[in-house]
Amino acid sequence: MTQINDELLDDFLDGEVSSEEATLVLAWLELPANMERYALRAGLKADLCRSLQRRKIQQNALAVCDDDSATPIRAAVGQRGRTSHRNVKLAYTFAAAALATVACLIIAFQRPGDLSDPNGASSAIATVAYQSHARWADEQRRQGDEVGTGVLQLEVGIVRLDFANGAAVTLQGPAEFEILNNDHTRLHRGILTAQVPESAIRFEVETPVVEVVDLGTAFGVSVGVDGETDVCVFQGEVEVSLAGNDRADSVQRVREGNAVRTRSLVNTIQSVAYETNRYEDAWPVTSGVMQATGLMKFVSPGPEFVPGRYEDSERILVFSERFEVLLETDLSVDLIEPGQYRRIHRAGQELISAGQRVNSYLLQLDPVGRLARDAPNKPRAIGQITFNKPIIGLIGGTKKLRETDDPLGHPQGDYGSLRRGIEPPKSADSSDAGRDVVILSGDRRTLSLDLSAGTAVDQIRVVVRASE
Amino acid sequence: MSENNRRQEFTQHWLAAEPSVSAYVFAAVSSFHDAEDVVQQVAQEVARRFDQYDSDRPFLGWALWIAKSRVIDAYRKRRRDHLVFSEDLLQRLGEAIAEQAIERTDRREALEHCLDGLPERSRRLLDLRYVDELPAVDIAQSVDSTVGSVRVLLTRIRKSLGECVQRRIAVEEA
Repeated sequence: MTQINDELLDDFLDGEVSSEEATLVLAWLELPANMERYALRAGLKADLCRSLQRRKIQQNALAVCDDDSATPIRAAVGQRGRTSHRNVKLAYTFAAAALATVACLIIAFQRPGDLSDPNGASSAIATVAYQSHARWADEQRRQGDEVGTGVLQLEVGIVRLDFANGAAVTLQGPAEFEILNNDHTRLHRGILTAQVPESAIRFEVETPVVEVVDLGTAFGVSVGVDGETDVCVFQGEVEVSLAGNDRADSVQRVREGNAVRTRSLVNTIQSVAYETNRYEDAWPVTSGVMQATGLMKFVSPGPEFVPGRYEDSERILVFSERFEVLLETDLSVDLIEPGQYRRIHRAGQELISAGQRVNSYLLQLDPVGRLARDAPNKPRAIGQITFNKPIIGLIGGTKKLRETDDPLGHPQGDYGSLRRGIEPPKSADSSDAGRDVVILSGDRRTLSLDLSAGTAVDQIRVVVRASE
Repeated sequence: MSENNRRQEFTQHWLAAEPSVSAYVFAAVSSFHDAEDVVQQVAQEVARRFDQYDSDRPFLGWALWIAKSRVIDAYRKRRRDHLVFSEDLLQRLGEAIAEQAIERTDRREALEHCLDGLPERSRRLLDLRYVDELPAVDIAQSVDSTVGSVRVLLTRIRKSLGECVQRRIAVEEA
């Protein structure tokens, strides 16, 4: 068995070891005492390099000086020649040091603009759009603060960053995230979910081991302390390649409903089971849902969790359906004004005017199986949901729901032919028991639902403004 | 704070931290050229972002934190480098380097004296390795020896230098 000694450590430091020896040393470094020994050895190497190179520079400078010693002026110094030579040596030493310092400062004190990319590194690239229980390690940030290039260290909590190009990235602490420029970021560790619209296609997230390039998607990335990276594609597709590997054949396209993994020292990208559990806190925020309370559940991202394929008897499910849809014609909806409603689909005709960009969500209470009209103890669920942007329309009747399935429904959704919507009371003067209630808050961002399952699938489509 | 004061403050901090930052980078990046490049990148970034430095915290910790990111960048560019530390190892390496920072300046000064007393042949081997940056195989050719012999000699020289540094530090502390 190979013994770890100073010779091997020096070879390791110089990169002159085999893969097996490197693995052995890396394992050996797991012990703190060994790491201290290695750090000392590395310090000696760095000091040797610095010292020997400085000596060489001085030696070369003095060689030039010695050539000059043949000149009459130097010869005229006579008896003081030795002292003079020493002074010259010192002068060269200090001159070299001074030049090095000046060079260092000239390089080092270039203003950000001098070193920045044409996009302007110091200008705002993203905005802190939302924070929940966030604690930052480096500096305190508030909702609405702008951030430029640099590293963000989130110790705990959830933070959503809205990029100027339209991409939305939600970080889940602990996370270390770096913004390199408008569409290039780096996740050193932690979890993020991202939603990237067409305007930001080819938005990139690097990790210590892979590069993820968006092709118009929603995805999650998680990086462990050892650099192990998981990429999970919720919608659309992404390109994943090994970091630093420019070969075209190293690029893998990962489509929605799939996940890949890779780690340090492994030159392969491995397909793994599609598991979204770790993204379930960050993903709703990326989707524009700031909070969901009560018996309301934001479904996991992915093609299996779409309307028609996923049911829950006890909770109101929240499906994120479409992002950034441009309304080409006026859209007919049931409600646009804040208030409390019981007869949502019998309300008057309301219109959302064309030209606006909207996001759509479907909220649903759909017990597993079918309920008889007179079934006892029908499920009831009460919940509240808050969006990051104002709700500009609610659709709760079967006809309008069907009419809007095409432009606003989930692309993979199976909406079926059953009667859907928020059910009206049996009669105008009946009690509230067993009736669906909808409350839209005054600021239009919070929706409260009290739904009782009936013969129809309880559904309401929420249309939210995509940008302020 | 005036620009001059700011520069002065940065210079003081950087001169004190540079030996540790270099040790960190040389510990994590094996190629001489790459390691030098990374140290320069760290110097530039530390200076460029000096306004963001929180003076209530140790400057070295901040500089090492930046160095860690630049080392990871270097890994991406040269994936076949044997010396690829995980983020956890990089973190612990930084902690070990920071703990040794106090005596690092003393070590460097002691090394200067120890190098002065080194035989010419040993100095030549070290120059070939650390100035000309030659691998052992090229050094062996240059001094008409074998690779194994060069490696053993270099290890012995470094060992004797390490012991010399320890002795000088012990004398100065006594």
